Amino acid sequence: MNHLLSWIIWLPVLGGMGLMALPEGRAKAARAAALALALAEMALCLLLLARFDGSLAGAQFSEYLPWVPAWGLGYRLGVDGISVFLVALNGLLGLAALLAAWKRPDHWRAMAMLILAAEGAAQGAFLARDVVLFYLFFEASLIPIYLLIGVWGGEKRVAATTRFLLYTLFGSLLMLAAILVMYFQVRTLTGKTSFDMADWQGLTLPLGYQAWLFGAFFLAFAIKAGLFPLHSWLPEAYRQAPVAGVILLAGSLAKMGSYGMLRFCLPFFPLAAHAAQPLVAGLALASLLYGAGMALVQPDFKGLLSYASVSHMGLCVLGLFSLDLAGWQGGLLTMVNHGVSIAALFFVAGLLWERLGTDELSRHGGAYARMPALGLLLLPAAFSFMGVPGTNGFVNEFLSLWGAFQYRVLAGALGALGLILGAAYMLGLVKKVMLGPSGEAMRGPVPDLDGRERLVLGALVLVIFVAGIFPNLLLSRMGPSLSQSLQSLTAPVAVAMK
Amino acid sequence: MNGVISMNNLPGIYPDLVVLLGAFAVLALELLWPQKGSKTRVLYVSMAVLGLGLLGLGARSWGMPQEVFPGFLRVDGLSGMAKFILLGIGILTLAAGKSGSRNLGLDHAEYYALLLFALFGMMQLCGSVNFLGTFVDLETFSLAMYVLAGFNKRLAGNREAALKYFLPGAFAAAFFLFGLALVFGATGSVRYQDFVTAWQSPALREAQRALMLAGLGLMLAAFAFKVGLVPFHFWVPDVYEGASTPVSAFLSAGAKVAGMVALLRLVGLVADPLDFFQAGPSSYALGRVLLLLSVLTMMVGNLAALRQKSVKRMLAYSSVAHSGYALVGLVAVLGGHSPDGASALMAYVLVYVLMNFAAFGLVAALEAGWPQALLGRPPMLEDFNGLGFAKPVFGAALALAMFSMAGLPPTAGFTAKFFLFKSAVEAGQVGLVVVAVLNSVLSAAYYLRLVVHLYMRPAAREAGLPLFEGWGAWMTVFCALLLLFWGLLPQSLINLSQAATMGIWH
Repeated sequence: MNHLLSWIIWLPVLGGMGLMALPEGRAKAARAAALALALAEMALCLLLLARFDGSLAGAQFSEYLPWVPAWGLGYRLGVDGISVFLVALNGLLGLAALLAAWKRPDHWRAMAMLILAAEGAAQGAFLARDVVLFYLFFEASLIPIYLLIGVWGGEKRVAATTRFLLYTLFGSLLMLAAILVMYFQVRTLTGKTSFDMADWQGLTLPLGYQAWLFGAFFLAFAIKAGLFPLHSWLPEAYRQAPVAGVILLAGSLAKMGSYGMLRFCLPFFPLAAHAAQPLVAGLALASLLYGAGMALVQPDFKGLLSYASVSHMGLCVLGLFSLDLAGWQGGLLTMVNHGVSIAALFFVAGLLWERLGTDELSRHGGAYARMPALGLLLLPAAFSFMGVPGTNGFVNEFLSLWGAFQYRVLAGALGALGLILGAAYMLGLVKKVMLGPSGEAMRGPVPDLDGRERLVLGALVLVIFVAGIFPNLLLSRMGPSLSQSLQSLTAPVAVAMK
Repeated sequence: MNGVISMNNLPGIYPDLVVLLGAFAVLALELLWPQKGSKTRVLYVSMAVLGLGLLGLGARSWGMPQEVFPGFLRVDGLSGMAKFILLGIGILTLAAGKSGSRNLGLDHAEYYALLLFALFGMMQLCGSVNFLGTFVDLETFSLAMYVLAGFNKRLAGNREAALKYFLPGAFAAAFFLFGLALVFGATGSVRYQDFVTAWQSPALREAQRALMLAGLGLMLAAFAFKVGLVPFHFWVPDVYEGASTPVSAFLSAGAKVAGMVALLRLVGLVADPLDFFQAGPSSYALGRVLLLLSVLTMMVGNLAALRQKSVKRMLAYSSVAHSGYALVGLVAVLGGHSPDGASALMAYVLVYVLMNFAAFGLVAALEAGWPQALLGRPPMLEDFNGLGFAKPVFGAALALAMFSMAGLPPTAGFTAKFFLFKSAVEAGQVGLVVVAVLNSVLSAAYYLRLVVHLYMRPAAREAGLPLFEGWGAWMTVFCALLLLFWGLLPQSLINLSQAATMGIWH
C-alpha cells in the first residue's frame, strides 16, 4: 500500500468528519461506521508493524510533498524505531477510547469524530519529519481533546479543560518562537532554509544559545507530559475528562511530550541536554516521588491514576535523561507500556463509575465477589503498573532504573524508592476496589463485565503479557534508531570536550 | 511629466471610480424611484457595483507599479491587494446586513451610499503617495464612517457611539495636519518621494531629520487612532457595540486594511535602504515607539477583552489586540533585514478580515432572528449557549473562527501568525515575538469562552435563540472554510501577499 503513513493519519481524521454526514437518528449506523474506522486504523497500524524493518535506523515509509517550498516547509513523513510502537499504541488506544464511549447517549457522532480526530492528530505528530508539520499536529490535537473534556466531562469540566488548553498552549507557543529562532540559526550555519528534522541535527551551536532553545522546547514537552512542577493542569483534566478522552490524553497524547524530548530536545541541543541533565533528572525524580506520594493519598480512583501517571512520566523522563542506551530503551518502553496499562486502568475507572455512580474509593470495595471477570483483568494491568516480572512494566522499569544507576547511583536509588511507593498505591487501589467487605456503593445490583468491556480489557491485557514475556519484539526494533540517535548526541559533546 | 493630471490616467483607478459613481447612483436611484421596506434594490445595485470594481481590478495586472497621478496616487501590487480586500469587505458587509436588515436598522438607502463613499476613501488611501492626498482620503472615509456609526437609532448608545467616534476623530485629523506641516516645513514638499529623497540625502542635518520624524510620528498618531492602537483605542469598544453589527464589522476590517496599508507606506518612507535602527537616534526613537505601541496594543486589547460579556465589545478589544499583532509586521519592516515583514502584514490583515467577518456574520445572523422585544440589546455571550449543537454547521464555523483568532492550527490564523513571527525573528525581534506569543495564550482565554458557550452550556430555552439562517450565517461558513483552507495549504496566501508587496518602495 502506497502512502501508508498518510493513510494512518488521515483515515481517522477525514473518516470521522464523514461520520457527521450520516443522518442524526441513525445511531446504530454511526456506531458501526465509527467502529469500522477505528478497526481499519488498527489494521493499518498492524500492517505498518508487520512491514517495518527493525534492522534499519533511519526513517522508513518516507513521504514528501512540497508544502511551502520557499520556506523549506514540507509534508515530510517517516517512521523509525522510536515512533513505530507509539503509532501502534495510538491505534490501539483510539479503538479502546471509542469502545469506552460506546454507551454515551448524547451527541455520539460528534464525540466519535473528535476521538478519531485526536487519534489522527497524534499519529501525525509521531510520524511528522518536518518540525512545523509536527508542531501543527501537536497543537491541532488540543482542539478535539479540549472539546471532549469540555462537552462530555464531569461537573467542573469547563474550568478543567480551559486550564488544560491554556497551560499547554503557553508551552507550545514559546516552542514556536524557539522553532523560528532555530530555523534562522540553521540557515546561518548550513545555508539551508529548511524545517526538515534531518537538517537540524548535528549543528554546533554555542551552549549559551542552545540553552535557551532547549529550555523553550523542554518547557512545552514537560507541560505536555505533566512533569513536576508543570503538572498542575493534569490531575483536574484527567479527573474531569470522559473516559474516552482520558484514555487518549493520558495514553497517547501525553506521550507526545516525552517523544518530543527524545526526538527534538536531545538531538538538536546536545550540549544543553548534557548541561541540563542534573536539573531534568532532578525534576524527573521529583515527579516520580511526588506523583507516587500524592497517588497514595488520593481519595478517588481517577485522581489516584492521574498522579500515578505523573509518577510514571517522571520515570520515563528519568530514563531518557540518563543519556544512556538502556535508559533510553526504558524511557521509550515506558511510554508504550504506560500507555497500555493506564488506558486499561482508566477504562476500569470508567466502567465502575457507570455502575456505581461514584469515584470515591472509600465507597468502593468487595468488587471481586460481584465482578470476578473484572478482578481477573484488572490485576494484570495493576501488576504491569507495579513492574511485576512477566508483565511489560517490569522490563521498562528495570531498564529505566538501570539507566538511572548508570547516571548516578543516588538517582537510581531514589527511582527505586519511587517504584516501591508505586507498588504501594497500586496494591492499595486493588485492595480498596476489589477486596474486603462490600462498599457502600456496591449495595445495588452490579453486573459483571459485558462482552465489549471484556474485549477491550482482554486486548490490553494481552498486549501487557506479550510485551512482558517477549520484550525483545519491541527492543530489537527500537535498538538501531535509538543507538544512532544516541551516537549523534554524544559525538558533538565529545568534540566540545576536546 | 511631474504633476500632470491627465484624463488618460483614469483607467488606472477604474475600480475606485466605479465605487464612487456607484455611491451617487444609489443616492439618485432612491431619490427618483424610492422603494418601500427593505431596500433590496439598492443592495443589489451596490453589490453589482462592488462586483464591477472587482472585475476592473482583475483586468489589470498587479505587477507593474505605476503612478497614475504622479506624486499623488500610485497603483501597484500593494494597492491592488488592498483594494481587492476592501471590495471583498464591502461585499461581506452587504451580505452580513442582507438578512434582517430591518432588525439591524439598515433599511435606508443612505446606508448603502455611505458604505460606498467610505469604501472609496479607503481605496484611495491605499494608493496615496502624497501627504495631503492621504489626509483627504482619511477624512473622506472617516466622515462617512461617523454617520454610519450613528445610523441605527434603535440601538441603545448608538448616538453616543457616533459622538465618541467623531470627537477624537477630529483630534486625529488635527494631529495629521500638524505633522504634515512639520514635514512640509522640513522638506518643502508634500510628496512621499521628496521625503525619501531628503531622508536619504547625505546633506540631511540631524535637526531636519528630527523634524521629519516628529511629523511622521504625529501622522502615525492619527493612524493609531484610525486603526485603534493603544493608547488611542478608547472609542473602539463603545463604537463597535453601539453601531449596527455589519457597520462594526466594516469599520474594524476596512479601517484596519486601509490604515495598515497607509502606515506601511509611511513607515516604508524611512525603512528600506539603511538599517533603520542604526540610522540615528531619532530613527531609533521611532522604531522604539512602534515597538512599544505594538506591545501595549496587544497587552491592553487582550487584557480588556478578557473581562467582556458582550460579544461585540469582546470583538472590539480583540480587534485592538489584532492591530497590535499586525504592528509586529511593521516593526519587522523597520528592522530592515526582512523583506517579509510587509507581506506578512498583508497576509495577516487579509486573514483578520476573514476571521472578523466570520464572527460578526453570526452575531448579525443572531440579531436578525431576534424577536422585537430584544432589539436594541447588545448580544451577550449567553445568547450563544447551546448554539453549537442546535445549529451544527454554523456553530462549527464560528468555533473555527475563534480557534483561528487564537492562532491555533490548522487554521489560517496560525498561518498568518507564523508568517508574521517568522519575519519578526528574521528582523531580530525575538523579544517582541515572545511577547506576542504570550499574548496569544492570553487571547485564547477569551476566544475559547465563546466556544464554551457554543458547546458546553445548555441552551437557555429549548432551541436557544432563533438564528436567522440567511446570508450572514452562510457568510460565516464561507469565511471559515477559507480559513481552514489557508490553514492547511498556505502557499496561495503567501504567494498573494508576496506578489502584492514586491518592490513596493521606491
